Amino acid sequence: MPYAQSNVASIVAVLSCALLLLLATPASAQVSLGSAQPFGVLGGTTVTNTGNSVITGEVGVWPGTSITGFPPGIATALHPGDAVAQQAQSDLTIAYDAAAGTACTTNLTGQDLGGLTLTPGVYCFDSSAFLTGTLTLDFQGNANAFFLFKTVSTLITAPNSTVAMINDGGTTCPENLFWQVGSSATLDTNTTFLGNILALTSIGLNTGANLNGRALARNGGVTLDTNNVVACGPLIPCPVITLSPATLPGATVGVFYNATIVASGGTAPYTYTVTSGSLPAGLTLNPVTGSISGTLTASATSNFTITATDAVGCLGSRAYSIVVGAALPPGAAGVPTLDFVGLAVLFVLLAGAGLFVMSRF
Amino acid sequence: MARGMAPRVIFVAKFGLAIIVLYVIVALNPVNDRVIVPFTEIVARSAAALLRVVDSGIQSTGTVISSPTFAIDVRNGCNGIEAMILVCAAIFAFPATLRSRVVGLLAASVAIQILNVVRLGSLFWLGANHRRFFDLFHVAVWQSLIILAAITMFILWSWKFAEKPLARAR
Repeated sequence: MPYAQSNVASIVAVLSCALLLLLATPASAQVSLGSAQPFGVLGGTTVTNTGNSVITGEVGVWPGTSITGFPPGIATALHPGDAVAQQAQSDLTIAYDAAAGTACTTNLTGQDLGGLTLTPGVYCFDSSAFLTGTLTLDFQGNANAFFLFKTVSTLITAPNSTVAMINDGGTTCPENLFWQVGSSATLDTNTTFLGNILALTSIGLNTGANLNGRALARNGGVTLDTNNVVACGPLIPCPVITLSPATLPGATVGVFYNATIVASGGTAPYTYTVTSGSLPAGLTLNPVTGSISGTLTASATSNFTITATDAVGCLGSRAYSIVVGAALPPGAAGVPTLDFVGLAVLFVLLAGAGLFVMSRF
Repeated sequence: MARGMAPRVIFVAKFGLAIIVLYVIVALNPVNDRVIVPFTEIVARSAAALLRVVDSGIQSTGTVISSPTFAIDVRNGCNGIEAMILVCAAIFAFPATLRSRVVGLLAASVAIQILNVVRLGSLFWLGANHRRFFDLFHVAVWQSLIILAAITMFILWSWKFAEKPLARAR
């Protein structure tokens, strides 16, 4: 190969070297509604309303095209099988898969949600979830506290059931509360419910059920009957806000730790908050830079969620885990491959070897 | 400047420039957080897996390899990246065909990483069982072996693989 062409090859080669250093980190889930954000109701096959339902938010369906019962129902806008609904369904699938991929912090299989008081976290059911009575969610003073409930099968409420908030941080309409439902969700008569329901199949709101959140069904229909649905947060198509990296490195007691969460996809600047769980003891999150730093003080595994809020109020959340190992035994230290002298020697020898070989051409 | 000197000057300049560029890349926070730290954890896990052949009680947490009596922290600088950077930069700077370079980069990088994992395993074993030899092997023996291996690989590559295509090109 001529020497000039070899220079081009050199660039390719050094890029290959850099690429060799790149290793993909395993993906972890994050939840961001994206263009489904303006929707209060979104179905896959049909949206069927009976009575004077009021939807504060848009109503759409895709790939189906049938929206019936508006009027007498009222909605901000209707999207029967159009491109807006198609994009919203696409982003709903991303959000659903992200929620499904988020690791559980507590398994509630077999427990009725009624009577429980829960703090922010990821709660899972290996089959169906039932709510009979009142579920109380303690937002711990953070309006954007992250709750995710995951069911493998159905979500069913009994008549007159309620999801209530305490220490709500001033919100009446929680934006960062999700229900990922493996099949269908049914809110029975006069249920007062909170959160964004992301259902694989269908969603039914029986007579008088009210929802501060969203009813978003991927493959089936949404059935309404004299309901109030208020989509929380900004009613604009939000971009999918991505938090990177997907995982955080482990830590060691007594050793300084520093990692940075970076949000992208939305409108800068972002604000970072811990919206469920807590950071390991000794670490703090800088709300402006996303830097997590400090010196660890206790050995434990911490599960928590970080939510980035962009300049227009769109959210993106990702669950993280940091494993904090015990303090190093005496004698623990770094073991550099080459110290400064070693690197200098290698540099000189490589340069000398290259010149020597070239002199033999 | 004599005409024959130009390729040598270019080699040295490209060698130095490539080192600076690669060092800057790995020093960037996003690269460090998303690439170097996970890579270093893999190196630590690999060394721990090697050590578990002789001692099943050895753990790796993040970048730390530990047993009840001894631990090492595979920090930046301990993961073989810097040695890889130097060898990669030399291979990049040396006049050769693309195919030769790719072969050289891959072979040298893999060899250095394998050596480094063996190095970490042996240092941990010495630290846990024969502490008096730890510093000798860490500071003198293994540094010498890594330098020797790196320079040998580069000479072999430049001599056997890179020179022939250039000779044909001339």
